[in-house]
Amino acid sequence: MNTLLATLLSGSGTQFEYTYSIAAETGMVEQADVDWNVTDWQRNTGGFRLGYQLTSNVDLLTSVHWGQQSSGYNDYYYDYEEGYESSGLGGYDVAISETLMHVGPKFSWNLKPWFAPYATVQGILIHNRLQMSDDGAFDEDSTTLIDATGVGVGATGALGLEFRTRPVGENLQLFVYGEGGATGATALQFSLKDAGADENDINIGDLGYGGSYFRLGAGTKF
Amino acid sequence: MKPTFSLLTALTLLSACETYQSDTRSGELWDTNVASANDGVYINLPYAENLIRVNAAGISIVDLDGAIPNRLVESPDGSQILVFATWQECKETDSDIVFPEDCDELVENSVLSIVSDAAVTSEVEIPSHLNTISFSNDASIAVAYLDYDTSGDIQVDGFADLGEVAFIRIADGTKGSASVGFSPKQVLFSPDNQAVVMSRSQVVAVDLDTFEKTLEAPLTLDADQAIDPSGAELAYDPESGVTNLLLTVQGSSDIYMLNLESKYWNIGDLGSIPSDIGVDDTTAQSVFVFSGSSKAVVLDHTQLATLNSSSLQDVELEEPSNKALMGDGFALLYNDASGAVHDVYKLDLLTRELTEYVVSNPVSELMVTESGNFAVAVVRPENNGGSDYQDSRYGLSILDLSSDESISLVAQSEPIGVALAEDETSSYALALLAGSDTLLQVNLASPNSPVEVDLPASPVSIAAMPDGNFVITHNQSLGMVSILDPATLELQTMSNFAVTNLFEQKELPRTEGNEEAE
Repeated sequence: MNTLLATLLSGSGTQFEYTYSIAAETGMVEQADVDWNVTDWQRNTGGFRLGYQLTSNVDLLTSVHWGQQSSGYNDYYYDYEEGYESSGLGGYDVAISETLMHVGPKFSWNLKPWFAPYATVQGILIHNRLQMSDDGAFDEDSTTLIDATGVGVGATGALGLEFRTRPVGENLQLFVYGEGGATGATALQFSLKDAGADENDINIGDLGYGGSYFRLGAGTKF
Repeated sequence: MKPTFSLLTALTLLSACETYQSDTRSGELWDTNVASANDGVYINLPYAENLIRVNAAGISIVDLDGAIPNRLVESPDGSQILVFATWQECKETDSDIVFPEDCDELVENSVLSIVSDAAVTSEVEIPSHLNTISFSNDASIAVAYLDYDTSGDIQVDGFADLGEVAFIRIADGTKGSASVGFSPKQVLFSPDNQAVVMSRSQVVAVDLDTFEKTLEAPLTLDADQAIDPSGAELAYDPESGVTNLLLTVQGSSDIYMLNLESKYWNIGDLGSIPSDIGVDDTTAQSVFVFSGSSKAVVLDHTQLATLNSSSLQDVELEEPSNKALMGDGFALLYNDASGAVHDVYKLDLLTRELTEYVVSNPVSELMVTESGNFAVAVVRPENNGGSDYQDSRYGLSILDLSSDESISLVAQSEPIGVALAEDETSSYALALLAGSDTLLQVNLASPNSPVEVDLPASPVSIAAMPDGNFVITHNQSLGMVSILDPATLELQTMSNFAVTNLFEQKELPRTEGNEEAE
């Protein structure tokens, strides 16, 4: 096993020349807001990352992640004083579809042909779609339907480690990486459009991202 | 390299962990016990701790200045909504405390907010244990008191006088209070602008102009004896122009009469322990019924000054009645406690003519139309299930009070809401049945072919609104109410309102730091 790993990671002694990189990745930006309790536990998002090499040490990265969280509330609810209480109503379903886009530079320290710690600072654009209904269908036939979107912007700073295989042929090099850091972002505001008196919007409230951040990925440079 | 690996590991693990933050909100998204006013339907959102108004124009959020609404009561004329609410105050001086859950010394202040046109017109501090509201005859004064029979926990902050009654002038929010003894039971309003409060072993009258006590009348001279009123009504004597209080007490067949002008008591014997009193101002007579005796007793108000056994006239019934529902010049006597009694009696108070109606099943609820032409009884299955189809089912019994005929209808399921409506020519019952998404409009003159109105979702309740329309609440967690025009049977449905401010955590209200931040 060790021999295989050493073989995979050992290069020719020089850095692989590439222009682009692409990777599939999973990760998470912490949802630092108790209002996320309306859905179940936070789940990892998944997506892909594209890279463009600017210099031998600097890449420009952009990534897109998608995820979904949902919950179904039945005919009971939890009361902090009374415990589980029977509800007079039938319950409802919630689904939040997440899209997170990152763009920013990555600064690598190419210590070895197979190993490079790096730091990255990226801007983040977050779009969420909130859907709620009594029957869980989230379509026009639902007797009740909330369909609202929210957008937030922010920034992520992270440190990472990248492991590279020896080049595959002349044009490809596989790599894996993991990075962790922190994200700060504006809250995503949701509202009921034109639902208020005089057709003004009625506030649903905001959901916030921010706090810890991590990504794990694997891809190829070419 | 080792330190870098450790840092990465720590960051990754930290990111993967769910960070727990305190969130003490709970409960339904909305409370189907809505309050109807002239300007719309007011709805409590327990989870979001907000109050909203919903009408054809849309949703309006009522700014209660951070107070959390608990219960809504509409004024009789529909011009205002009274909101029992609490606001949380942190006794710690740390300016960094923003949310209630961050405070270790949290106290709750109880207020009664008076709301009109989706705005608070005045707010009155009231003791937290006051849970019941009565309105004066002209609806200008609200009287708040503690009724032990009202469901819910009794909240006491520090020490509390449970016998305190709060008087609130709705127009300007001015408040007075009086201590009326232990366990106030009922508040009545006399024509001479007095509130008469029944409590254990005494009756207290309070002047509604000054909020001063004008009378304290003990029900017993023995301080060790506890006498709890069971029922009370005000009876006007047209001959003397005097208003008298008629009072019955638990476990006793005595009728107490208090002349509110001369302040003297008179006591008579009804022969049995009464279960209900009804007063008819048209004929100036009162009717007493008895769950344990097959009779009713009629008291002529002109004989109140010389109350004795001859003043009380017995009317024999075939079956005992425990309730009296008063119409204009007549009383409907029925029994909603016994599973064996099927009789409903109409007692004409002018002629003393007694008409007996036999309904199919035991009565749960009896209503009479405003015109007095019809009565509608909601009937329930027989206690033993019954042998025949109708005995084991819910239904409606319609009593034609003009022709003395009755018709019993079998319902497919339990009626969960019944309301009466009338126009110039006809009287209707509007009925909601459990498990049905249809409202039935039953013409009481020809009840065999009800009109069906499709509802957008299964209903929970129906109630009359001040403008003559009806509000129907639906079993939809995200919020749905419909306004029914009884003339056209058209529905106007409003939904999704229960998510208003769903994702807004309430900060500590009325604190300097938070107000500046806002």
